[in-house]
Amino acid sequence: MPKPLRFLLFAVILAGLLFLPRVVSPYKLLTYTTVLCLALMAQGWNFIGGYTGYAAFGNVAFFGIGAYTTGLLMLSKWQLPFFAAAPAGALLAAIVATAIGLPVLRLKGHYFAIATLGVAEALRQIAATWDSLTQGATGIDLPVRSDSSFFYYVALALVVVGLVVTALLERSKLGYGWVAIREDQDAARMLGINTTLFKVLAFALSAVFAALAGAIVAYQNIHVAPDDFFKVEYTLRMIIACIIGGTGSVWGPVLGAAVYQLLSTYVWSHFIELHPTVLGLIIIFFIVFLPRGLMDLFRRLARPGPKGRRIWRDLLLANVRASRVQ
Amino acid sequence: MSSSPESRVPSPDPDTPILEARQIAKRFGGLAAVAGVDLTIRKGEILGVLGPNGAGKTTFVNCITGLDKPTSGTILFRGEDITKLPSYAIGRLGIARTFQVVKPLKQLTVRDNVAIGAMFGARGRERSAAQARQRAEEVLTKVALVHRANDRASDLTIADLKRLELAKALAMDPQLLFLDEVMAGLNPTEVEKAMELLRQINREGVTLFVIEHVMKAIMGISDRLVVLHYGKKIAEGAPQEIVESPEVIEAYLGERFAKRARAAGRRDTLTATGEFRKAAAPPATEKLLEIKNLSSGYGEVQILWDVNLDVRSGEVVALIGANGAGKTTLLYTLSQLVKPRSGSIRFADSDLTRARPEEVVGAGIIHVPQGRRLFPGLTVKENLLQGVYLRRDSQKIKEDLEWVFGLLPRLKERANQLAGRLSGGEQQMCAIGRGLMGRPRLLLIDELSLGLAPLVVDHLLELISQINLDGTTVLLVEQDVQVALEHAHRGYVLETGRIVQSSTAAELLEDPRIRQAYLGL
Amino acid sequence: MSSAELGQIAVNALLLSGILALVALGFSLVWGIMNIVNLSHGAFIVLGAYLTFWMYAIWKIDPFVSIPISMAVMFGLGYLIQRSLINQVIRAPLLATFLLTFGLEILIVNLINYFFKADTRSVQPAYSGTGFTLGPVRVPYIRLGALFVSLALVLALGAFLNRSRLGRAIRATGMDLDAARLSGVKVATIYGLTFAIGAALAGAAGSLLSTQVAFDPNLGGPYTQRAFVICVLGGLGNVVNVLIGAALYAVIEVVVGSRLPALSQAVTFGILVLLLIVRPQGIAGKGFY
Repeated sequence: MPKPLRFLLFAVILAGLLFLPRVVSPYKLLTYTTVLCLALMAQGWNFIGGYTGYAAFGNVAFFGIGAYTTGLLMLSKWQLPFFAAAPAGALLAAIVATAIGLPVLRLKGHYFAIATLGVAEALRQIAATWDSLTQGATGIDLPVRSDSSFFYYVALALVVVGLVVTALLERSKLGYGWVAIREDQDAARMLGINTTLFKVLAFALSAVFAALAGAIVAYQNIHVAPDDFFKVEYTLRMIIACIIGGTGSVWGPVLGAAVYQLLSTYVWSHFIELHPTVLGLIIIFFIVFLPRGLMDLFRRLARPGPKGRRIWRDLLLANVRASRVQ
Repeated sequence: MSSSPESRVPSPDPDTPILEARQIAKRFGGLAAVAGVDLTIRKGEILGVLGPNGAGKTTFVNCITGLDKPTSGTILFRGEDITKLPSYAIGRLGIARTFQVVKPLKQLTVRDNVAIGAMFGARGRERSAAQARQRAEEVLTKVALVHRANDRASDLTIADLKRLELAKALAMDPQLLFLDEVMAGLNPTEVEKAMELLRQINREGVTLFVIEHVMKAIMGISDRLVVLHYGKKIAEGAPQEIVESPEVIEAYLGERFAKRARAAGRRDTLTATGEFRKAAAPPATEKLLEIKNLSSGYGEVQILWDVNLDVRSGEVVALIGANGAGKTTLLYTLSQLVKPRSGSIRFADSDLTRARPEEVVGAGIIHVPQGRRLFPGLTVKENLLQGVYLRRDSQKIKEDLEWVFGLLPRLKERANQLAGRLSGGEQQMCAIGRGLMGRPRLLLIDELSLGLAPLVVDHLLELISQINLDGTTVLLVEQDVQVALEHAHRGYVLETGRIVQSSTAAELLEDPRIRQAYLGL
Repeated sequence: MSSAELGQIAVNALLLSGILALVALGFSLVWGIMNIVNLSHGAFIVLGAYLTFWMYAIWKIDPFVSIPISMAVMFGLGYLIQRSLINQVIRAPLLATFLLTFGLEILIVNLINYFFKADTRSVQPAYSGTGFTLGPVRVPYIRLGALFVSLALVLALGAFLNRSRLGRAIRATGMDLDAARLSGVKVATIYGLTFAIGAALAGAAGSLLSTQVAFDPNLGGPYTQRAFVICVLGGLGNVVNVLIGAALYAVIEVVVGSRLPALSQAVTFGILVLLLIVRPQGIAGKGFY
């Protein structure tokens, strides 16, 4: 698609999105905000898991940190407004990510994944027991804000910023460095890339995005409790969103979040009791047939070549053929 | 052919060392991979490094470039101590390297691969990402790879991947470049081109440290040679001196090799003096293995192109060719670890073209793979038993085990040791033993000589000849052409995936083209 | 702490380590041989527990007697899942099998929830609650029985892996896939068998657990986590490592559980992360299966 046409399409969609709150019910708006927050988290995960290739399984930790920091600052004696508290939460999340990242990013593969998972679980327990700070398991209640369109616009703005940031970074030295680390870390080191610095940056950036999403959800939800805001499902959702859309791409996380939410809402309304089962099947389907996500599928379809039913079968089976053992 | 070192301009300056390595040692557990090496690299020179596989050459380079930290020793680069620097910092100072097993960034384009070198190398800070991509174009043009700039690295052939590896390193604007077997996998014409490219790079001011097995190349371009063996430097000096030094000959080169090396530096021809272990051609002429128009490859890359080859019952057939020519791929295709894309494989009376790996084994074709590939955590005896996995006749298996122990008594001594702890030669013996256990009708042997001292290789090939005389047909893949042809009845020459010549071993040994290309004569 | 408390802790740790070793062994086998961190391991534990529960509830089959049955069923299920599903992505990057088994876990647990509902169950045969006392320390028979069964299974597996032809083939496949193929091994089948054995052991653990704790569909998750920690503690590679890891972990869990119950997971993961950074190959180091 030629550039000016793409721009026009983008502008039209953006205009539509800006107009949305006027035409939908507050309940529907809530769902859209949820999608945007998921997209935000997925965009963040994309830096560390997609571009850099380090599958972090504990980013909900930063989501929770963002939520609690924002809430506690807003409730504190200074009564910080949201637009000061949220960035503070993001900053704290980045600091924690750096502190954890320095030792943990030395680990590889499964070990890194489980270590980050463990960190998230540990934080959940800490939040539940540190009563003096977090009110423990009962949680805290943020000040109420009734205009749901506020959350929507903030989330939308951040997602757009996320898109711009991802696009810029992808073309920058940082982005190239990340991909080099993912493809071959030793080669990256030999080529002069300070892998520790780059990895920590990716991790900290993912923390910032997760924390901002946490701040929005906390404010929207009003009630913040450890079991809700540190649950592993959030990490899973952001990873699945990236997988569905396509890791390591600018639009992948956003597309994936939208598709995921669509599927999830559909499943919820039709199969409510078997919701997780269907979710599991969706995960399995994508992992087996489309591990690089929809963006990659579109890219391959756009390549010149024969079309038709055979090409679909080849596309879907390509991954299986490459990764199976017989 | 090769040019004498004195004719190159500019001549290296003996007074300014660009790199000084003092008493570098690297231990892995109890094993000293590098055992106290002192080395000085002079600014502007091309330093050639020789030594068998496992001599410590790559480990040494790893220590200098920061991939591994040396256990002890100091490294000075232009007078500055870089021993403790992390590898990325060393890269930024102006040292670059290629990897023996190439490390392309597979999902990126060729241009992006090289651009990353330009972005983060010695002059990376001056460049933006866009400028780095432009610099990449320049470098790619120099290595003649620019026509593939937009292709994904994962789609390149082995030869192109080697060039990409070099381009990535060059893009870092190094002053000192470590090259680890860049010529492996190139045919003789490509070797010439690569030599010229390296000379040009050197003329432009880059000091080169070249690890190489291709004798012609290393003799032809080096100002000085260094020989490493068992982690120590055993010789250093002008190339011609080195190959005539008695210690070097005795410890590593062996008579055959030294003759070849000496001849590579001169224009006289030398007659081959290999004796044949085979008295005459074998009586049986029926074809045991018949390969017709076989093509295969990995993923997008095709390696073998229309290969025709047969092996008659009772023969030893040698398959020779440079590293990367496709010899191993051919054996893997026979064993069905790589699926043929076209062509056919007939063995005895069956068509094995579409067979499964276990069916090939069941038919009696046993493959002793390159690099031994023993099961490191199984004992020697268990490895041997795994060789007859498909059989359950325990009495016969016991007899076969005794037979193998008889042929290879060293294995009996070590029967209950973990295979991972054996020496290189013992491992190769165990791998052959594992292959023999199955009483194969056809034994495929891949690169028997890799990393082994010449004496051990001779002993093992004697063994192979013996079992061949007892009736086992052998297809022998070898990089060491002379050794292979001396023990074979017939030979095939594979070059970049195609059979270019086939004849009796004696004729091949006398063939001037073979002698020049592979024996350096 | 009084000596009686100490004694009870020691005994509890010992009795716990049996089941933990069983849980970790199946997990460790799949990880060591196929490089798959099987996040659905817990699901097989739960299925085993439910099988035993229903066999007891409907046919009054004694839980210990039901163990071979649940093992057989889990074996078949595990084999099927490996051959049809996991084998399709096994050579893909690590994240793929990780997420696949995670998806599988969600799926299975939810199905269990759907069909069996979320009520807590337990199996209480006539002899539950009985035991003997050693001085101030109490040893329930059921737990002792579980310990013996676990050890028997662990030893049986060790013998199978080290002395049988098939066991050797499994170990070989885990060490060098291509070399195994070249010796005639059908890798897809071996992978299926390995996963099936892992599932069978998990099923046995589930059957034993059904008599010891009140369980619901979410029984499995924490045990998968424990299995992971045990593998890191003991190191992958052989049965002895698993036993060492299980013993160590049992001690840690019992001690921490008695002192800081609310932060037990935090402490466990703290130790895990520390260990991974300091000595990733585990306390005993990597051997080979």
